[in-house]
Amino acid sequence: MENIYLPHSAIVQEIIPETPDIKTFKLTFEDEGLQKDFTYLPGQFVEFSVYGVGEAPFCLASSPTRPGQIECTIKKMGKVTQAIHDLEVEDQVGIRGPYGNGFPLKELRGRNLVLVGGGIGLAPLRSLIQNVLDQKDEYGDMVIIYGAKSTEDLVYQKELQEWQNSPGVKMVLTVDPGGEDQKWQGEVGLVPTVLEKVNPSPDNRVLVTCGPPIMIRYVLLSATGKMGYQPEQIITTLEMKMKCGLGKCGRCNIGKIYICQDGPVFTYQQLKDLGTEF
Amino acid sequence: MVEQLRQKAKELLRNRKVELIIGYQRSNNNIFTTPCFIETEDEVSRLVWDKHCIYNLSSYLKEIKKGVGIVAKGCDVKSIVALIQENQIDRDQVKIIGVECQGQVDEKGQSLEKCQSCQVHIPGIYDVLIRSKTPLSKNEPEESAEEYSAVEELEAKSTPERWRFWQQQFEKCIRCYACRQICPLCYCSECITEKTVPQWIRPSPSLRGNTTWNVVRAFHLAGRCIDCGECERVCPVNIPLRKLNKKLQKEIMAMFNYMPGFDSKNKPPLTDFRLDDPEEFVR
Amino acid sequence: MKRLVRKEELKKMLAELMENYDIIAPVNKEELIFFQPITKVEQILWDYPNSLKPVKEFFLPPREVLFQFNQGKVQPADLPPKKRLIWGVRPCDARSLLLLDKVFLNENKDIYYLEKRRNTALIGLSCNHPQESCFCTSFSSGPHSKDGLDLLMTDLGEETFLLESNSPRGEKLLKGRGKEVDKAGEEKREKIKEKAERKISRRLEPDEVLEKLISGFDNPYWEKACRQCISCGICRYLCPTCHCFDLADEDSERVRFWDGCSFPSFTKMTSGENPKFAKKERFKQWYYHKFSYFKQNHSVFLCVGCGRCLRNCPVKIDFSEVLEQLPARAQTPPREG
Repeated sequence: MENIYLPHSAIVQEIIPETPDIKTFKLTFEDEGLQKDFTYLPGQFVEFSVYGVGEAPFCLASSPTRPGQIECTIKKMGKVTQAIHDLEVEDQVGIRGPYGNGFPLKELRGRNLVLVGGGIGLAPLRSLIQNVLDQKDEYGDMVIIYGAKSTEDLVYQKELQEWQNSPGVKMVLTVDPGGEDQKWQGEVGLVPTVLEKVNPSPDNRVLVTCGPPIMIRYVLLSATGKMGYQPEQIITTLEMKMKCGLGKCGRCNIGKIYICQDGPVFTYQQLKDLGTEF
Repeated sequence: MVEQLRQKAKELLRNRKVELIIGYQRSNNNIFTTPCFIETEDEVSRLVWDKHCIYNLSSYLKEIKKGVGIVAKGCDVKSIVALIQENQIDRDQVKIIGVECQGQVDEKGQSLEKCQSCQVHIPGIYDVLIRSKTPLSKNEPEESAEEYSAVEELEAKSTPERWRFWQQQFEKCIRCYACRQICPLCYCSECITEKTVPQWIRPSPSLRGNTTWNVVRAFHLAGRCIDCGECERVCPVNIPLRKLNKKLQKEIMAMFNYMPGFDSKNKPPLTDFRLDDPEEFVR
Repeated sequence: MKRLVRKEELKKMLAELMENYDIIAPVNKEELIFFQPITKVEQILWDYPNSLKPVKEFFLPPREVLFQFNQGKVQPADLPPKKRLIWGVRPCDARSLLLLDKVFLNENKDIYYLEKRRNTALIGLSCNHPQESCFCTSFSSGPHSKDGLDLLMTDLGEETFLLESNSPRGEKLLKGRGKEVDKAGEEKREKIKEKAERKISRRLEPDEVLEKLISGFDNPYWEKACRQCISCGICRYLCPTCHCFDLADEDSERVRFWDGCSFPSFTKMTSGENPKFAKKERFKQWYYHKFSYFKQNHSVFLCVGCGRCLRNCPVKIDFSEVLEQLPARAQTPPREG
């Protein structure tokens, strides 16, 4: 019987520094059969182990449409992330997963999208963006609004260009007031403000957002307020302290649901239904 | 005494000297007590006072720091003094309803060990004092030398014996942290056990982690612990924590001639220095 | 199968079983009652108010090594080879394992827990003298319930026990022991059982509680109710059905150990955010998990009425009182925005 707590061995293939405290790690499973069969949905997460240091959950920043490796984008914050940042290429780590419910791709097919990301919140959205770009015909147009504290805090800087140049994609980048450098050509302003300015129409559109809680709060306010989105049209991915990823250790619950099993992706309507427990 | 207590509590609330009074109320089984929080005059009838009022209510002052009145025995007041010494509460924000205490008993009806060597039947400081109508029987408190008899018993054992004793005790520890939570002086907003960078103490209940935890807590209390004994009372696996704390109390007394909990203007010796501090270890 | 067995024969039975099983039984250790592996039958307590730590510690240990890592290889911890037998389990503790099964033996089976369950026989002891703090009858159970046990022993007095098997494993253990139960034995047992059930005075109405909890999430009652709580972990750790845990790497081992939702840092993220920082939220979480969320997810309440929480709380919070006093069908203020 499978041991649900046992991580699978994976090797670090490439490390891409994104910002002073964020790196993207490209990993492949040691077991080639597993690598081939490993499948997941954008929005799902894995439990990443640095043996001897600990384990922490990170969403998959890569898309299942590009098999052969998985990617996680990780910000250096505590004990485990510090150890992850000290990893080198060819180091061995452990991966358990995928866990969580992922984005509801079936419901997104045939619709237009607006993706609103803040800081490292772009990571799970990247999985979705790559997935959509790889299956262009199944989705409508895509608006991406992404912002960070300053120009050097923007992640995936190379890919941002690539996405900007893709047909059917409108990209708006912004940095917080005071975060722009001399070369900055994009917007200056908080993400929710820029979202309202761009104002993509809610017609047949789904809004997906991920970022710091305060940004999400204002994005939800703007979207359901001036912009006219219905709560069912808005999707977000929640962040909670998680340990087991399996709904057993008891800490990631909101009401009767566990974020690691029934989430982390929820529609705003679902969050409202949770009532004050949210 | 109870009537007097209720009367004074009522006055304090009526005159808006306090917004909340922390005291003792009768528990469900009609014998023991449980901490109570009253905010209005009609609630004062819940207050009781007898030999089952064992809790050190000053531990609630870690959370409630203003506009509060607290029913406190002599030992409890010592921890209030300690909290004032360490700038955790302002003296004028707490109204101490001191009660004259003739000793407390545990759940089995046995007199508490700490009461047998108590020297503060009347609290050191108070805003209001509730005195007993019957004068205290002329029971001279035991010589303070005897206070350390349990510690001395352990000190007489050899080092390996002592180590074995404590290992056996710490093996039982389940890291419920009741000792820390009930202690009025364990008020760190982030406990050393919660730090992960670096991780000083292993969070899991291994013997090694348990030993480190208990010893570190005792050290952090050295020169501060006033021996209210609550930690030992609440420990579900009966680890004799008072022995540990008293040992350190004895060492501090010998080194600095200092007893915590009496003078709020003093500073605990390990947070302060004087030019005449002992220096024999400096060679 | 039911048999009447004399105490002497039970002791012999235990001595025989010791050859094939690790026997775990209640012993008195410095005034505290612990379930521990025993080497001599004389160590066992034959009548005792419940143990300090619940029987869950043998299936979900306070600290358990899950696996070790050695030079790039991950080695799962060895699973216990020898069979175990826990002697003298109280019905409430046995029932708690059935509840824990719902978490650890669902579609994602926890093999550490599973192996221990498979490998362990449970021989229970009926409660003839329930304590004031007991309320097992509030949960479709009782002091003489067989739920979750392989075998149940009832002390009929005069050195005689009535044993009833409740599973194939129990039947195998009981076969050939003692003698047939006669009518007198049956009657005596019934009388003892009724007396025990009547003795339980504490009562909770779980369905009413569920309703009150659902409607009362925002009731200001909770602000006052939580004040006494000191946020330690005693109720969580000594509760037979609490099962929250943490995972950590220590040296070259991954360990799993008990954790509790009462601790302020239980839900604290590395970023510093902590949704359940307020004491009120952590206080509520316990009641809601046990009497609302678990019931909604698994159709049964996550409590067996053992009373350990009441007996061991450092500030004597009476948990059934807290639920009793929660106002019914309170007016929940409408949620803003």
